[in-house]
Amino acid sequence: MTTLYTFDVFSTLDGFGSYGPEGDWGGYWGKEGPEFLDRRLALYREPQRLVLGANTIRMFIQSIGPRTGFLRDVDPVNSALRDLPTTVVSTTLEGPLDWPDATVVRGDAIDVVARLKEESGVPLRSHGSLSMNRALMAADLVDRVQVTIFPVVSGRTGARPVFEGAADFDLELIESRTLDGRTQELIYRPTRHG
Amino acid sequence: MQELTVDFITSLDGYGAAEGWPGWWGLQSPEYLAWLAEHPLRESTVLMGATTYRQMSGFVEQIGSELDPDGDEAASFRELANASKVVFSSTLGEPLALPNTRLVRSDPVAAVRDMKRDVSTPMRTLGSLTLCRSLLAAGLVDRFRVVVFPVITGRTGTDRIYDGYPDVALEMVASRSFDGGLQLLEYVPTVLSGPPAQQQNA
Repeated sequence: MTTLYTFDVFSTLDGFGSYGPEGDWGGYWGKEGPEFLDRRLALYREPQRLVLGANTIRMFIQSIGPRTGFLRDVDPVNSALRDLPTTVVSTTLEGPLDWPDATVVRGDAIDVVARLKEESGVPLRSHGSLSMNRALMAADLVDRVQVTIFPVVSGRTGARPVFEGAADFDLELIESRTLDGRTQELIYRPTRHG
Repeated sequence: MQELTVDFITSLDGYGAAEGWPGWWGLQSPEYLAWLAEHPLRESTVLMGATTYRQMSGFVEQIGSELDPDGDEAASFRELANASKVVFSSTLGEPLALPNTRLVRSDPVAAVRDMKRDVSTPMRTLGSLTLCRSLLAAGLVDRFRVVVFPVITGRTGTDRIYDGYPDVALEMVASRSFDGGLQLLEYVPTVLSGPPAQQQNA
């Protein structure tokens, strides 16, 4: 019995995980609301381990790293996220990182996560980390895809398509909830198609 | 003014179809089909571009040969044949094979702007990615409705819905799950012409 691994990602309706320099949408595309923030806080307060790729942890540290991040007042959601035990899979990052409880593991993400799923006593949650999660999905290591769809289309300014380069998957919709009357969270169990 | 609804079915990764997969990705469920029946095409004027028109015309001809006449797909194409339709095309010629279809050769944006004032029923689109993009960009779309089917088709997906879209703010007006894991999301779209943050808050 291995532990559950969730690929957790925020997206626009048109499937972008981020936006380029021309887009000044702001955090959560300017669409966060009380239900969404409560939901995220509840998620991050569950016992779990974060698993992040190098780009995502770099981005997190730039904004909410306790010593070096540009955000001085960190909100409860990001604070709870930051306090989670974190495994960073990277061949380039050098520790120590400006992150309270981070372990950098060198090696192939597939090997690292396969081992974590055997050994971790708590569920695993990855946020963003698109290229790592693409590889993990192709290796059948992702048990849940949790997509939060924000109510925008960013055809002009969108960047980083969430599922770019993915294989084909059948999905089983396990949970669906609307937050603040505008943001849709969908949790699927993926199975490779064919 | 009549309302215009843009209607898409889509994979989670934004494709309208995929090579090697059946219609509806083989995932049409009883609740979804019942919902379609509650919103029959014949209550609207159906708008199409030439590519979708040609596809649909081909499907209607296949009823009874390649398509099981008692199947759900054949039923949906019969419904389409009976509905009042407009096809926008500079290449199609009359007579049109599909019944109840009017051919419009002029610019669809101008034509739909007039139709919103003149037609007696609401309008909705069928497929027609290019037409929908033009109508949306022109600010003519009142409702943007997608049903997300539970598949990712990164390898085989075709007809990517959102290619060439502008930035758009969406106000959600409906959200509902159907059995089989289909998810309806319906929005009122507002096209953003400038920097998103300032526009959204305006």
